[in-house]
Amino acid sequence: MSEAAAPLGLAEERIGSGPGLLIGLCWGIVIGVMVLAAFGEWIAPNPSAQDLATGVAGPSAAHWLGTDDLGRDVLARLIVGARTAVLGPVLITLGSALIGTLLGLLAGYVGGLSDSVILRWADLMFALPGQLVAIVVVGVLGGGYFLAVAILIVLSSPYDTRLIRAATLEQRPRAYIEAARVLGLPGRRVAMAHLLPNLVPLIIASVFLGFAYALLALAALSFLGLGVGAGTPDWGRMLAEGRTLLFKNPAAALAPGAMLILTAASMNLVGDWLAERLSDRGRAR
Amino acid sequence: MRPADHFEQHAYATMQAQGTHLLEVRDLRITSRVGGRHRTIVSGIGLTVSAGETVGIVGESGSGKSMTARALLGLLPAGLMAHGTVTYEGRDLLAMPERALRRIRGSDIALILQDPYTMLSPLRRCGKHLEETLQLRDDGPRLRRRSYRDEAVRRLAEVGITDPGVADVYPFQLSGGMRQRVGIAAAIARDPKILVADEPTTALDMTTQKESLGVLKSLQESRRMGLILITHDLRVAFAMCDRVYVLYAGSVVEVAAAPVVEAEPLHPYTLGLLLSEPPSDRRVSTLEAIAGSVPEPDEVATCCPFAPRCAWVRDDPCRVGKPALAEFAPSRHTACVRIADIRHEMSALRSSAEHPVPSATVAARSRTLVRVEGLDKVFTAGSGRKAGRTVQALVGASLEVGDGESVGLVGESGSGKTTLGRCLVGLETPSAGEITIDGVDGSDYSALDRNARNHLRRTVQMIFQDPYQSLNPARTVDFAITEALRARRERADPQEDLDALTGELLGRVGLPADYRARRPIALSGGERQRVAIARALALEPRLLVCDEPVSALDVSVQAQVLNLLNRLREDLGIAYLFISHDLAVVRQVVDRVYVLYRGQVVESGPVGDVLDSPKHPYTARLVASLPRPDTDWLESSSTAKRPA
Repeated sequence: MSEAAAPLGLAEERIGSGPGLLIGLCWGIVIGVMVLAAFGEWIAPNPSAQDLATGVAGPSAAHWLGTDDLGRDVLARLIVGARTAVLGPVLITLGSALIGTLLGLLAGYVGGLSDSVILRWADLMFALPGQLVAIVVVGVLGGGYFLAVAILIVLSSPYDTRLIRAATLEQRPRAYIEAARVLGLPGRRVAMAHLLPNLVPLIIASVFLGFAYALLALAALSFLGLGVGAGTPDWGRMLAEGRTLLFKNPAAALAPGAMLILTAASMNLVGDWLAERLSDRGRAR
Repeated sequence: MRPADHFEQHAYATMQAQGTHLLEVRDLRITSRVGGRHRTIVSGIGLTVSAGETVGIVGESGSGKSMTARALLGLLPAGLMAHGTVTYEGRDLLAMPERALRRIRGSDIALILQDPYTMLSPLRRCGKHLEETLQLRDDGPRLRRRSYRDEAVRRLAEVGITDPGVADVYPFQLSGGMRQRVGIAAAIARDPKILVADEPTTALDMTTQKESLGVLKSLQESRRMGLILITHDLRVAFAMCDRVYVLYAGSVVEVAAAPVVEAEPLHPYTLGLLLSEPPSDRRVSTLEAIAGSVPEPDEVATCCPFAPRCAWVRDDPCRVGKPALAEFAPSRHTACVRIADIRHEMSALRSSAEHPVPSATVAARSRTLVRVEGLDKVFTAGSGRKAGRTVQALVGASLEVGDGESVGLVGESGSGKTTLGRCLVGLETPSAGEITIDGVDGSDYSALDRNARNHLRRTVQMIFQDPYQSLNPARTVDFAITEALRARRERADPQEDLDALTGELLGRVGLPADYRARRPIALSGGERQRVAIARALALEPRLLVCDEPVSALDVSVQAQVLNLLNRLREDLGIAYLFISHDLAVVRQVVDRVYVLYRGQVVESGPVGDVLDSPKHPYTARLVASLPRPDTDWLESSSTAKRPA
């Protein structure tokens, strides 16, 4: 008996295996950062405690990642800094997804004038250099973490709006939507009870993918001193403050940068993986 | 033309003369592995093809027929593995490396796929598709550039495309039937010895199907190719094939010459298929549907695969082991172990099912429920200033449906039949003309006030063609039906009432009450269509617009749904507007029929009269395109002319 393996064994592997080592690792990082964000202050109770006698120093047994120029423990600040690194992006992605879903459904399902107005607004937002607008607005209004979060919600919602509108247009001509219309259900109910549940996988995937963008955008504002207040442990801010210490304690600058990259990349990969998984689930055929 | 006994001798001779086969498949098994779990798709089938022979592989969805075809050419999708041997010219194709296999594909064994709309690259002119294949020939003489084009034109003429201009157009400029012909021409451009055709005409209209099958048959005969025709349609198999393999849940259950199987099937499954096929020449009271649906091959690995659905099943011998295909009579193979005992019962059942019931005579005309007069519908691409090409789907179509009457609307794709149905339920607004439903003007739903619109919704409901699309994949059966019940009732019913009503509705369409927690993904196609029917019935409509309700279903399931529709009509006195392209199906369900051609009603009358003695040439052509088992069916294609 002979055996003919199908060509493209690689694809077979993708079907056959589970999440895979890389995705498992990414999930680990994502969950780990979430845990730190929730319980950071409990793990490292005093991130601002100064060890002025030491000043800036490299890694040691007492301070695993060394200390910064004010003698503060870098590891402790890194752990507690997870909160602002997670909270802001979560608010940004959820807020943006909420606005985007409502506007996208309105534009895609109702169409007509609302579609034109929403699309022109989205085009206008796309035309603006987002990061620059955020810097200017936050700078003019005097900075602040939640102001930065709010600006970023507004700036990223047109992307979600476009995405949800496109998906709505794809679902709208399907027979199950027509069947609901023939039953005489009001448009709002067809959109919310029938169409929306079928967009949930897309929204979830979009939230995960948007997280990385929001994380970096927020860190960039903090880096420029426009996000969190001075002294608050925050990865973006630590990156800015650690720059000058690159030769005295490289960890003070590199560790927050590494955390930002790891978290953003993990979120992206997890988002990709989720999008692939969810889009197959419940698919009609 | 050729009498049945000739077929039998021919088949017998080819089966005896071992070694003359072009292709021999032995113990082909196809398995998949998903997440470490092994699944069987085809469990050990064998088949042979000789030069000049047409072999049919007949089976419903889930029988593994398409995967069998792909396995022969080493084109299984990723994740699927074929075991066994496929011998071609002394070599085992399954053991061959991909490079060697590529030389055989197209030049020795070619494949035609089901969908003519996707099998040609949309960016290449039709001639290029052929030239490309011609240039790959390594045995033939190398031709000049110019000669390739001439050759391509010649090849197109061979499949009946006499216009040389077709070589210079893009596939999207052609109709489905023309594309299928170009696909056939490209597939056989390198003169393969074997052609595998996987459902080549399923996506085509009846009349186009007949023309395409005629092209295939004449090419196969003139070149003495071996043709493996894979189809779900027994009528097509009988019209085309010398020998038929009946495939069920990944196993061959019967093999014999086509006329022999048609005359006397030797497996209860084949009999069930034959009986559930609606006859086109008469109406039967109930179709003998096969209960249940096709199981997974692994569920029936240790018993007769048909045992769970068989009326003649006995624990011993049917469930003690998997029966092998055995020769019951010369060149007639069956996998039924009880065939000697039940043969007479089977033929008795067959002859009793032959008795026609008269088409329901149209009694005194009941009150008119729906009147459609002079309906026009023009579709315009784009809108406003960008308005472009227009298509007139309906041209002054008129019809009437009486209270409790079942009316058919037949026509091919593009005839406007679906558009008319959609106008009735307000999914489209007609450009001109009048629709009166139960005394209310339903021409424009959006112009009606809320009460009138709700009244129409409760009077007319619709069942859609594709049950895989018409149920919300994210919602349970219970949600779908409860929501429809709520839409019917003004004030909120207590939940207990809704639960009871949902259970009652499910029972009415023949589904157990515990299906309410399921999502569509956990339902088969037939079950989905039942849920869709229950949902429509929840509004207690007086007219059900059924838009091709069974065309996406397997023939055994189709019979179940048709029986259900007939029973519902008897029980509830509901009227149907039954839209279909399949005349045989229409005959089983409707009293009167309207024939739609290019948006116009060209003929109407009692269904028996219209189908038996069509007046309009288009109706005649439709009736002639129904596959018949006699071999002159294909040859009569040139006689029926297209109406102007």
